[in-house]
Amino acid sequence: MFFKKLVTTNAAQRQQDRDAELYRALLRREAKIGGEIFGSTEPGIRREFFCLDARTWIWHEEWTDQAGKQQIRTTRYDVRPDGILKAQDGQGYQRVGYDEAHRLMQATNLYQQRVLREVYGTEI
Amino acid sequence: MNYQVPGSNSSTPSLEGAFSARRPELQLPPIAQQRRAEVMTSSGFMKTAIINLERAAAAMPRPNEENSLADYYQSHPDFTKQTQHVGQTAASSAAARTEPTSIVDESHTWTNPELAELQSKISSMAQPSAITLNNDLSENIGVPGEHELAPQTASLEFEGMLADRGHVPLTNIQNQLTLHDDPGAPATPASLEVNSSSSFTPINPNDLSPLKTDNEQSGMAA
Repeated sequence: MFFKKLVTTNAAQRQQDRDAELYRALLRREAKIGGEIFGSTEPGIRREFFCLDARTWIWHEEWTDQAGKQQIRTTRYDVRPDGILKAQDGQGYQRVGYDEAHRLMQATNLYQQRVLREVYGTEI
Repeated sequence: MNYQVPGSNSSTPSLEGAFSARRPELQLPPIAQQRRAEVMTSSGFMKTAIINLERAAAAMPRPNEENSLADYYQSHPDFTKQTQHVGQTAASSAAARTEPTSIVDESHTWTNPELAELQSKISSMAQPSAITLNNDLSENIGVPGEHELAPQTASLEFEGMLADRGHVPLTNIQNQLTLHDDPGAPATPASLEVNSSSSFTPINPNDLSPLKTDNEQSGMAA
């Protein structure tokens, strides 16, 4: 009885680990595609853009400044029914203006098209 | 706050082509189906936010609207005179401009009995109710106490007009109207002075206080 329960628990745990690893791999792939939406980046710049969950989008960029110091900027967009809020590098939220919101929407539309086609094999 | 995708620099095999269009959709693992649904749902939330942003932008008064109208009146000096007949159609206004008419027989000289009769007729007419003047206005036109006030009426009707035009309702509008020098001329926006204590102030997005969300407090879910 105990042995059977142990085996079941281990199998469930392994399945959870596999799901978690697959989910992370999907996010990595999506983030790479998302980073290509805004055009090519200069050497030394790493850009990722991805859908963290249905209401949250992340823009992550890393580069090396002239002093040779590694710089990181992360922008988080929270999509709410009455508008979009933005937080950069953990600072306070501010409301996204109309133009930026429109550009963000265009980016997410492209993201959706490419990701669904290239990762999930779904055409929309 | 680190939203870098975990393991981005690791040597985990790429998923490129893992679920290519050649493979049946049913072969997607449940977690991938769940993730795909999440991505598809996100566009709906985005559209809702954008639509509501557009509505909010349309409802916001344009900051230079009054200036623009004032400029227009200034550059069209005849505009004020031509539009004295408020409420007439453009066609009838045009007719009025080309063939000016008057309801007053200026050649007639009024006698005292006629004046008394006219005054009694006026007094027997219905008391003004829909349109009332406040005390300040009554004093300014030299008829103190002639019209009993319904203090809220004028401002509420004015707010209703503004609401119909999509404006934010004004408060404390009473006593803010300054009379034009020419009583016959229609009031122009320049003659409306709104108290600074009114609520007619656009919200500055930069004044929003920082918010905290569950996501931010508990860290990144992924």
